[in-house]
Amino acid sequence: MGRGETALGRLKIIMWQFIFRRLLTLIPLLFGVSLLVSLLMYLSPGDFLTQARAAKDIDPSFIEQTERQLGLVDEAGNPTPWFIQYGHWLANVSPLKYGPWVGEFDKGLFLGNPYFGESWTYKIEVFDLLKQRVPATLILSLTSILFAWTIAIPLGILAAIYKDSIFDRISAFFAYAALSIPEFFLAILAVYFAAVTGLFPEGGRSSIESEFLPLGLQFVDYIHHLILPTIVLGIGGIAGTMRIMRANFIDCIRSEYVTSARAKGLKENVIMFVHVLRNAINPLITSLGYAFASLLSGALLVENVMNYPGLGQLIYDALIREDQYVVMAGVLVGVTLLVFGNLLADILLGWIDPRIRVDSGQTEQKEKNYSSWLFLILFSLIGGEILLESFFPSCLMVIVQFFKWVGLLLLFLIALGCIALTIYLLLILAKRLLVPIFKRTSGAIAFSILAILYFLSGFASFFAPYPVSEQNLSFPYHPPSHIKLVNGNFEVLMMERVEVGLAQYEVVDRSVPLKFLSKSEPYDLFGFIPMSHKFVQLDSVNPNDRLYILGSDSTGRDIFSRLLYGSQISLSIGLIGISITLVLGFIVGSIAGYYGGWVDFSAMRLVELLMSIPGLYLLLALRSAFMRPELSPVQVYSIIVVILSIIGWAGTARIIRGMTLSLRNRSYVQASRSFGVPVWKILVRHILPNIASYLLVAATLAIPGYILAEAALSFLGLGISEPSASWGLMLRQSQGNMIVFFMNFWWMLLPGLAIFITVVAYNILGDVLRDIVDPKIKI
Amino acid sequence: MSVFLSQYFSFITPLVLVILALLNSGCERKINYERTHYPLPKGIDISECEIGEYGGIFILNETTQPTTFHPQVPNNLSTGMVLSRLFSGLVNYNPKTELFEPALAESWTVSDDGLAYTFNLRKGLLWSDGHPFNAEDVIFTFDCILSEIVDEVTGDKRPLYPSRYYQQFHINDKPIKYTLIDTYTIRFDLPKTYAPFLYDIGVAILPKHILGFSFDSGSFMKNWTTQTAIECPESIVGLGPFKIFSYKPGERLVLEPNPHYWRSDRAGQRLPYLDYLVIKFVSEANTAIAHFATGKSDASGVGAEDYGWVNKAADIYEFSIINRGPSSSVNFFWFNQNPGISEDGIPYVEPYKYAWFSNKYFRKAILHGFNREGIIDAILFGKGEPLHSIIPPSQGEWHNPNVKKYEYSKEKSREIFESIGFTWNQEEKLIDVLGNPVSFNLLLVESARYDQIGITFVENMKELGIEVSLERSDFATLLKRTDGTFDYDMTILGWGSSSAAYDPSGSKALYLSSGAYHMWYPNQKSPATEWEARIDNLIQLQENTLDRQKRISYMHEVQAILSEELPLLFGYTPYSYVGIKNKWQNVYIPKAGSILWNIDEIWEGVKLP
Repeated sequence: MGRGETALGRLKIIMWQFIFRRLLTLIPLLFGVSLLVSLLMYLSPGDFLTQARAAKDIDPSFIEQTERQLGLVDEAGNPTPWFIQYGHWLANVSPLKYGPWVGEFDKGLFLGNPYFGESWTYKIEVFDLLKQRVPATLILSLTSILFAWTIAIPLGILAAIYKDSIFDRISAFFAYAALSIPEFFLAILAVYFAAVTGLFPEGGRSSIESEFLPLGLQFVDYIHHLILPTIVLGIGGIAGTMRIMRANFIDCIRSEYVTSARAKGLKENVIMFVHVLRNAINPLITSLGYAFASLLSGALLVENVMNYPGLGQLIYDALIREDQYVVMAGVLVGVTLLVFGNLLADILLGWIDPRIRVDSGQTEQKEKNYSSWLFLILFSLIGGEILLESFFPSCLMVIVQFFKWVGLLLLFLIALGCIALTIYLLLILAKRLLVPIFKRTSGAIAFSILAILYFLSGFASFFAPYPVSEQNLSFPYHPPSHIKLVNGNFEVLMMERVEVGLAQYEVVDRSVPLKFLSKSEPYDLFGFIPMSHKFVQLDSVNPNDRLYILGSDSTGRDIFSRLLYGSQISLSIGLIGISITLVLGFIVGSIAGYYGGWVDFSAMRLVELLMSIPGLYLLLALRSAFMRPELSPVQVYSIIVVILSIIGWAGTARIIRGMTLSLRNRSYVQASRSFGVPVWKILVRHILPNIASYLLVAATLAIPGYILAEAALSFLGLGISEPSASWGLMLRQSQGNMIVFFMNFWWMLLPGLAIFITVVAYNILGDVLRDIVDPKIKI
Repeated sequence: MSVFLSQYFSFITPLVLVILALLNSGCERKINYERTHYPLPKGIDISECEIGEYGGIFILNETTQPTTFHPQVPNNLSTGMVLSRLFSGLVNYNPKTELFEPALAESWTVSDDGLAYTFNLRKGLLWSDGHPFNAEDVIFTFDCILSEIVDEVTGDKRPLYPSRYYQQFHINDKPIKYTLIDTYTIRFDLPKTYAPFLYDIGVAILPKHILGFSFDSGSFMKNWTTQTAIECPESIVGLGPFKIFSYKPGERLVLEPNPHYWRSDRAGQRLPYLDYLVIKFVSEANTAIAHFATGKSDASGVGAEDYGWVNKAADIYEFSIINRGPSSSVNFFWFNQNPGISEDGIPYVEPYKYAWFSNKYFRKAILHGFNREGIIDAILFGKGEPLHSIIPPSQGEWHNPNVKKYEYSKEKSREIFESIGFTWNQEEKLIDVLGNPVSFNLLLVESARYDQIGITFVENMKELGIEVSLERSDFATLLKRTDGTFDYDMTILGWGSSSAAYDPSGSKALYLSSGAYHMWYPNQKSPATEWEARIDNLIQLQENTLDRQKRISYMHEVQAILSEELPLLFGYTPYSYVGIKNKWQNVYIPKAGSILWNIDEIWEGVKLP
């Protein structure tokens, strides 16, 4: 008995140690994230006083006073460098203060309240603002997880028990569908649903009546407001959770203890729900931490569309308005929530499954060494920068120039690497995987859909009847043209508006034949091949005869043509983005895995830093740092690709590192090393071919993420801009614009369908690939 | 088993019922507001409105949050809207009679020379906290606006508490004088005849008993932040029809009647009739309209492009949409005509471009080539009209209908280009006299609406052989570039007036060549052209006479000059629609400005069609 107690006691101590250690790692993490965000905010043009400065009725002296108070300018009125601004923020936030600094009069070292600054938009302290917003997002995230799990776990179990039945197929199909609908698109549909049926509020957190209601009813009212956002946010999670649940359950059913339990004559129900379920649910709990990360990102979009006053909406608004302190504090809270989410998942796991022990910290000593070195290097870098900027500002410019050139060179090399790697992977695909893909129906279908999409997108200017932005102001919201077959010829029925004031059309008694492969206005295919024929056109010279295969938008532009041109951006961003990601991920991951030691340690800390910030938060922060209004569409496009890859490579690097780590000690690698083969050759010749198939699977499953991210960014109005087209941007026209719903202009939602089809196809293809390569890998 | 189930149900049913009740009751729920009836003061203003009944919750949507509850802290439009419900001024503009009416001042007299205004205040009024109101408060308010201190560094005088009103109460750089005559009388002395004085004098009066202390201690501007409204709304004390009940940033602001408001109806019921005025915050205008169209708010402006579909729901949710005709909002393009040189010695506009932009025929040709009618047709569904003058038709007599008009005509545009020596090359590109191809940037505020206008403009110019590229920025950056760094070719802006009380002096900064809003070339030391000098002169003339007809004729001349010289390429003015639920009584919708100008008189009656 006494023994048992001590064991339990030790376990408790280990647990507490573990929690304590994890919380301790939070400090450098928060430090790093805040520094990163502060730098990004510093780089972005303008600050939160820009608007105040532009308003002419605000006295300049008032602005100067504020600037000084916030440490944006020094005593002489010159803008302060970033480290002073960050220092100000740090000094304000830290409970241990050393005065006096601007705005504070206490002298010496003292303890004070952490002060997160004031929101410029809301004019209240950031801390008070967060106090209102964080619980809202937290509750929404929790209800979404709860919702997703209560639906996904039973469905996953059923799918596993009745494996390969029709039920399994249907549920798999729904899982793909749910996984592939962009959250913001679903949110638009939900708002529409709420508006039309009146069953649910269209947004907000509480109804007006709740002001005057007793507490109990206020609670009911709150739940009523939570239902729709929860469903929208949770649906994406259902699919993932269900797939994991099903796979685990199948694994567990096949394990030996099930066989022995059956042999023992236990009831099937007991086996399934007492033995199998408990084991199968573990990986789900591990995924909880990740689920939380994606929920925070998703919440940003859903909160914005559904007008739910949470953290995401706050951060988005604050980023747009350069409300610096809100962004800093908001992102930090997001990161902290994530860390706590992961911690909670680990503790839960330890509690549910006593076999899993939190690591007892044998490698700790080594890591401590590394981390102190890492910190030393980091601090000396930052210190050096500060010294340079304070004393030799001109020297700094030279260094910046130097880095610019080195960066360009690197960029060029990476671009070369991308092309090489893409070709290599495509070759692998063709050689090893194409045949198996086509042996499976779903694989063949998905592959063909993608092939057709990319073909159409490549020849967009040939297939599109009109240039990307050719308007016709007489035909706003023209419905899809009616086409009929007359004597073997296709004829288009012309339509006219019923009355000028409305966008309602009726067919008039006049039709224009279609002509195929006929002469057109000259254009350049791929931007350089001069062409003068188009696939399909109206046989008419009257500019008011227009062919709208899929309807027109608010200025009479052809949706079909725009969808084709938009696909060039939406589809290519995924490919280019993933190739950059793979190259970066391969370089960092394989080197880290191959060398191990401090290289590995520092690379992984960088990866963790990037992965600890909710993706969309980082995306928006990077975007505001690098985007300038004067950029051309091509530049905007490249910046978006680069930003997406910067965020994406971390996860890939981690996977590749793991694989390299296991390959490193294989005899053929050891052998080449002993022959003195240079490292890069080993990596490229021996490691790469062995992980190529895995890379391909990872890439296929990751591309939808890029497509969705671009769509989300453009949808928020922060990505591709008019008159260029991208699917996300086209959907933006129907966001909140109730005219689309109330007048039933359904064709405005087609870009959402296009995104959906592409993403479904990629997901199915990725799954098929995974089955072919190795059904057990977790990517 | 059945027993087990029913047990379950007995627990669930009430819950379901409660939820259903909540779903259905929604707006029908009667909330009983407990009013305290204080005796009416002697000086009460008796409204001539139809006598109504107490009750009702009026819900409005707003897209921006109030930034402060302090009338003198720099703020935005939405803040102004909220503050006007909480505070009152000496006079009020009545859009029905188009005259200024007594508010806190029972009456006023103007001296024969037009220089002295004497205001007699209403007697016996109380602040919303019950403290008596008198002339001291008015004096205090103007002290807050006009007090000066000497700057330690420069030695110049500057306002103690900088606010937008500081400049407003300076006429020709001299402050107005205000004198306390007795507890209920104040006199204002103007340095010079100034026609729009009554238009300016209606600033919110502040309570000395609340803010007097902070005025002395220097923390005056730190009062009444949004935090105050959240934590301690009762400390924000005003004379307006409402006071703050609760404020939840990002969600809503709830106002309740001020029990000491200075107006009553003829039956002796103190106004306002409403139980609550709720201002709901939504993220964007589209959501606000959707809420109205689905019966979730009581009144809303409806854009011309939304009229069609919103009106479809009018019968279901029992509201009507009223056409107010051309709105008071205008938009216009302009070319950068600043001949100056930046700090780096580079001209703001390249000389060859400057030659185009400063040529009025070039501008006329561009305007002729811009399909404004098409935009109205497509984007506004025909519910708007091209703008021909800077003062839109909604401003009644002030608008000059006989100005030069520029209709869409590619032929006319080409004719004008030819007449000033421009030609087209083989690729159909427009070439200027010196052989430069014509191309420029159009700077836009990032928004869907401006995107549509901008894209149409680009397409129109393409047809004339002109290459226009779009550049987008946020509003603040755009303003910085158009009046600070001047690095732009062309841009477009729109503005609307939120107030029905229109006076041309309100946009003086646009007309005067020295003005900050003289868009195409602001802050000129001396007028760059003769016609700008003439406009400067006309603006001075209209300000220094009290004769309305004379002022109107001066402003007509200003408009004629502007449309002949065309420094601003006018866009269009959409028709303006407002929707309001049928149940509200005493609603009078003015041609321009807020439809809730008489919110204190509005009451919830039977639902009339």
